[in-house]
Amino acid sequence: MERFVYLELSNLLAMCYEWGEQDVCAILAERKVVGLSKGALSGGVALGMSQSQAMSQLHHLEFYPRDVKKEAKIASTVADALDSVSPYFRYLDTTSAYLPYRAVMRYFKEPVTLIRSIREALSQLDISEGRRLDDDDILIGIADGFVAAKAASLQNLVIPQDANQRFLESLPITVLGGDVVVETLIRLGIGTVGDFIHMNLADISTRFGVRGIELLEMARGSRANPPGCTPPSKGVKVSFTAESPLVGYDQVVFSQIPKLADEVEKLRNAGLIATSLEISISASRSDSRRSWSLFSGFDERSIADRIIWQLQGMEEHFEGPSGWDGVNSWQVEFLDVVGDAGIQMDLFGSAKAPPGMTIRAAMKAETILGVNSVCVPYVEGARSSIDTVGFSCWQELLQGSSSRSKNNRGGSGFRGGPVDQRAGNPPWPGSIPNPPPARVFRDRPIVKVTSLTGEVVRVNRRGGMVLSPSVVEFPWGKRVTEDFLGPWLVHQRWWDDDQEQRFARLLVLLGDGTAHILLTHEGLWYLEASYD
Amino acid sequence: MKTYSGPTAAVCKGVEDASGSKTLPTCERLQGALKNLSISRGSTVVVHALPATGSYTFLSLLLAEPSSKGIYSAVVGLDDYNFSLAAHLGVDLSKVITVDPKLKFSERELARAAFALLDGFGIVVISGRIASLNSPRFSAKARQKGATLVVIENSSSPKEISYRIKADLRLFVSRSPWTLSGSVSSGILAEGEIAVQAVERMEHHPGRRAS
Repeated sequence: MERFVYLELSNLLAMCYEWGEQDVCAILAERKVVGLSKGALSGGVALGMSQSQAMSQLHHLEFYPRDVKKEAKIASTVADALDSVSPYFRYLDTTSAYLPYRAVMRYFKEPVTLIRSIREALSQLDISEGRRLDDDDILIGIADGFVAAKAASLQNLVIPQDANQRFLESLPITVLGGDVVVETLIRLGIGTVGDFIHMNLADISTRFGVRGIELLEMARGSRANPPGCTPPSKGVKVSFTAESPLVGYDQVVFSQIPKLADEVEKLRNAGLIATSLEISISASRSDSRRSWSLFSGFDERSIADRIIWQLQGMEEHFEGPSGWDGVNSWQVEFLDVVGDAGIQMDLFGSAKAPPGMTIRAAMKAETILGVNSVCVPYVEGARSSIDTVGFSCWQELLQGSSSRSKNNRGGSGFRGGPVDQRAGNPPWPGSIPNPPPARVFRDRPIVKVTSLTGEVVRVNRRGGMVLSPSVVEFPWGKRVTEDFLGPWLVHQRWWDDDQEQRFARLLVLLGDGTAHILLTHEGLWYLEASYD
Repeated sequence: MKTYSGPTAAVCKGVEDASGSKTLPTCERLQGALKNLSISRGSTVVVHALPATGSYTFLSLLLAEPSSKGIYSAVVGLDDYNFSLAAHLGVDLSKVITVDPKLKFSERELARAAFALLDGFGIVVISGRIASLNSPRFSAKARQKGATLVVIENSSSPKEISYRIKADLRLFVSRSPWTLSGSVSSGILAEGEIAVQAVERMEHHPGRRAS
């Protein structure tokens, strides 16, 4: 499993304000405390508290809004410092970043050396107006898998590889996420990751569906988050070049949203979504290159936001608009893309609907009918019309573990898996030519095919028909034949005594205008399929 | 395949753009047959057909455009429906789920599953036998969730056509007789024409034929 270095700069946002030692102030975003003055911290208020919780701790606490421009400048300063340690840091937001350990292990050899370098780079940094980060505010964790690394950072731990699973099992289950499934598990008494991994896979699949299996994989350590990042086959890049340096950029970035949306849509159509990207910006007096990650997947707006954040950081470095000459060009490159399992179009084609609504409905249906009962059809080559359609369990497709042929499924939607290239256009001699019949009968009802004289029509071993079919007697009544095509002999799996099949097919057009495929085997006639 | 319409009805007054949220998008081939008519989301559509007279072809055409627009469909209780025809007529099968036809379920179980699928699927297709178990509840849920409920009501003869299922729109599908094509390479059968006759539900005159 991938080993990660996770870095959290606790209370970094407090540096946006010039608070004194005695001030009791907090920064509030979406009714949660995201930054605190020293006075507020010593008064018992903690980051992440709700507004009411914070007020109950310190009733005279003053609240401030986030200062986006100052945050961008601070983030830019921090990113520059981290770039001096390694250029491979990926930023989740202003205060947190991670680094794939393999990217730096050759250079730093020991984790301790890497941690020391990061701390030195950050502690010497003049964040804002002479303010510096306390060593206690720099939280670094190293472990296998993103979840474990993030949890390790809370205690500044380096988890050895052989102890990683034990460490993960000891963690509260909330480290896997804060969604409905985790809340339900807590209500059911599953408190730790260790409790969860001992649950039965089938029970988890039935009760919690795909999300449950995903969580179990994370808990068992068989899946890191971000999961198996795959680079796109061709580097997807979106670039913009201004004719002359642009000082005001917000409007221009947003005007590029359709271009970004096209690329996001292309990935989505291929069943993929970008989780990491690199934004390179060239300004008149400086350049900036930074990698960003968003594990829920980037859309065009979240990409535009990050371009603006990066531009704001650059602009602020020039001490306001007067020193800022403007931006010449930028480029967005998608670094990692993963299967788009959970995000999908809504019922009527908009991507704004609550994701997972369709998946939840399918899960509910599967709970009613049983595991593996709900499936996604796909077309494959076969001689028998009943075998031309295969069925893959929709959850299996979501996990991408099915190895069955899927290239006729369309590729997007419930997620594509490995594709059997051989099945592209197989010849399948003896199969029914197009158009495919509309109905295929699994239980193949017996029919009677007779000639004008009422004798049963037979096909001999050489494929010849002694009499012409005139009447077909179906379970629902007799029909006169107007025309027919065939018979065609089919002999398949002759190498396998148990599965060998030898039969003949006949296409009949009836007086009522309908068309049917009949099959004869050992003197009996069956209804194989009907056109519609 | 060509399609033509018989007498059709402007069921949705003030028909909106097919890409809008109020109506189901339909492919070009169906638009010809459904002239001036659109299928509203949240409505119950009953497709009446005699065996082998075009109901499954119509259904495949109906699912084609929504699947290409990212709308997910569920097909429940049509064990003999050949999905390869659907793929042949342009349905993106990755946007379609069904119940494994190899497994046997009672109609009541399938009805419960279809009822659950209305929560999250844009189109839910069920057989008339399943719908008849509790058709008012199915229609009410489809209306509430904004899903289109398509009921395939097969009758073995014109006399047996049943009107037991309440519908916002009834479509009577028929097709021209099949004929053999000239050569196997172009397909063994010549593609015929499908005719659709629509009957809207009238507030005060249920079942009245629209003109």
